[in-house]
Amino acid sequence: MKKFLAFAVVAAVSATLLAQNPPAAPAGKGSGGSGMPQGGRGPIKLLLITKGHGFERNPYFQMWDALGETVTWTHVEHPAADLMMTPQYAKNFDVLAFFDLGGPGGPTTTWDGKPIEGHLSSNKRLYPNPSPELKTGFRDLLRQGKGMVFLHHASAAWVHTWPEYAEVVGGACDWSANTTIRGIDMPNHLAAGSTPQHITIVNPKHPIAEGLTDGFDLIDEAYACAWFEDSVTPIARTDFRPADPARYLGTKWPYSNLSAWVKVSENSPVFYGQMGHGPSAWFNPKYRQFLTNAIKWAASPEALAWAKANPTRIFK
Amino acid sequence: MKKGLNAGLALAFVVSAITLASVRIAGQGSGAPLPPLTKAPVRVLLITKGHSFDRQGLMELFDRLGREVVWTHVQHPAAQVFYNQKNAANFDVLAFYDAPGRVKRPTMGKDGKPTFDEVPPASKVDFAQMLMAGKGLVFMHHAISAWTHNWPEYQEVVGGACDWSNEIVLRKEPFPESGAFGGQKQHITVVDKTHPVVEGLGDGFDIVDEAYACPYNEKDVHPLLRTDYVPQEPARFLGKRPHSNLTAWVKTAENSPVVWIQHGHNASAWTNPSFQKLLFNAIQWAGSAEARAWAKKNPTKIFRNVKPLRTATN
Repeated sequence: MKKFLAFAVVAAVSATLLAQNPPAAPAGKGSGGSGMPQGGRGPIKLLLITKGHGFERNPYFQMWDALGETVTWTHVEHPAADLMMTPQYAKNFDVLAFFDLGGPGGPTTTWDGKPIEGHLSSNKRLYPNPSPELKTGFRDLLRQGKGMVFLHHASAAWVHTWPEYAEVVGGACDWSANTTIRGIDMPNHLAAGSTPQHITIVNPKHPIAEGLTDGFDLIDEAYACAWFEDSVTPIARTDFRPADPARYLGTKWPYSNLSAWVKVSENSPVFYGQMGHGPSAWFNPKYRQFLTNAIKWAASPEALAWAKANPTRIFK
Repeated sequence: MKKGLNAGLALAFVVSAITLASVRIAGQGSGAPLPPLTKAPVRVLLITKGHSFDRQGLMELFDRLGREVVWTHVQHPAAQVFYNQKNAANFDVLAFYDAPGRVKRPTMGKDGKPTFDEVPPASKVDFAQMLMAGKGLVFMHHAISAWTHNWPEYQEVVGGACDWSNEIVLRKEPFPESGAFGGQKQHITVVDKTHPVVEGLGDGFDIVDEAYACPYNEKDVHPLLRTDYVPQEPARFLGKRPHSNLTAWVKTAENSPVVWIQHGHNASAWTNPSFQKLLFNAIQWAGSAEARAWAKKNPTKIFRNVKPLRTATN
């Protein structure tokens, strides 16, 4: 009953916040409150990368504006983002935040019928190969050392065509096609929308847990995806569990209830947070605190030093 | 990179086409597939930052342009990476809805007047060389205020200047703060019916939108549209210069075809079918071989101390 009441409170607060969510900021004024300009004005320079998976633009961007005392954020979409994922052009940003889905499945040909090179999946969609320049540029950036924050569906980027990318993130998803992850075949994964969850912090001493050690409730899309438990440092776990995990992960990959972790990829500190599908998460104050903590950590000299002292070789 | 980018753009186009197709099919109540495209979609880089706007609304406007346009959003300062001809090579048109260069610095200039943020010198050279290579440019609404305080050549590229919060200088002539008049009912008259940018707009159209009183270089642009809106006190915004009722023009900047459209403050304009047609036409024209050939035949020298790239073509 106590748990139900907690969820009810979260739902009510979320509904209220959603109702208050303005459809648009008036021109000439910011949307982050207190005169916050669009894009924020905080000390951490953050590059926000999207494209490949739809999302509600205004509430999402408004969430970033609301973090505007912490970050100054700049939006870029693929394929322009590919160029920014390099040492040369990422140098003016402290953190790269990914809410993208690079290399999504699509048709097999270009507009004029030319075949697209990539992976033809079980659902007959073609997942294009990443360009050689993106692969080398991103590898070089990770080796140089840059704070990386991967959010929600960003764990589904390049799943079929660039296995090292999943190693960078710490897991892999595809909700619409069968996958082969670390050599294990599995069905399409699960995305369970609007799921009430309690998030437990399992690493309360980590800076990302600051102010959240009791965990928090939220209503959000949950996943059953292939997380690399043996390659990450857990930060948070969800109490969500699918009724039949094998339906989404096969019989050889156990379900993991990880919902946030940190890891090192080459020389870069990496955070992944599974939460954050829509406004019910974006307007949840605890989620915002969690995200703010993650960004501050990824941008910190301590995280960069930790990564450099504990490098993980991914690109051979 | 080009191959990968092209694949990405092609994919983005097809995904957009599928989305659009499903919307259209739902609307029509028919499962008829869309006919194949007869030419490549125009690849647009949409540049923003420096003036707030309804982000969902503007992006939906670009979504509505259909499968003939594939667009990618980038904000300043990352946008300046794409002032470079090589980096922008996979985009046919740069569409500007930005207004950088209007943030006052804490220190005043030697003349006691405010100073503003400015573009790095290397990016200025990049931009000049990109225009020498002939990139198609579409400037919308408040983009005419970009870099207005410390990059006079940029004003020449667009064809005018505005700032609604600060005094400005255009061609060494000082002006007061510009005028912006929100929600004005206007009738727009087409003044050159032969131009592709106004195709399908007939004699003109009505619109409710923000109007401006800004100094424009009337004699150096090719007028396309004029508004019937006249501000009550033009001198308050323009000093001794008479008010110009231009709301759209084309021109060349170096070897680039340029369109400027004054309209487009918010959803009131963005959902207006005539405005949508105008923007679609502008993008198609700026990205066309015909426009590039016209610009190359009628170049306007703007950047005096920059040499063109040897190999770059657009």
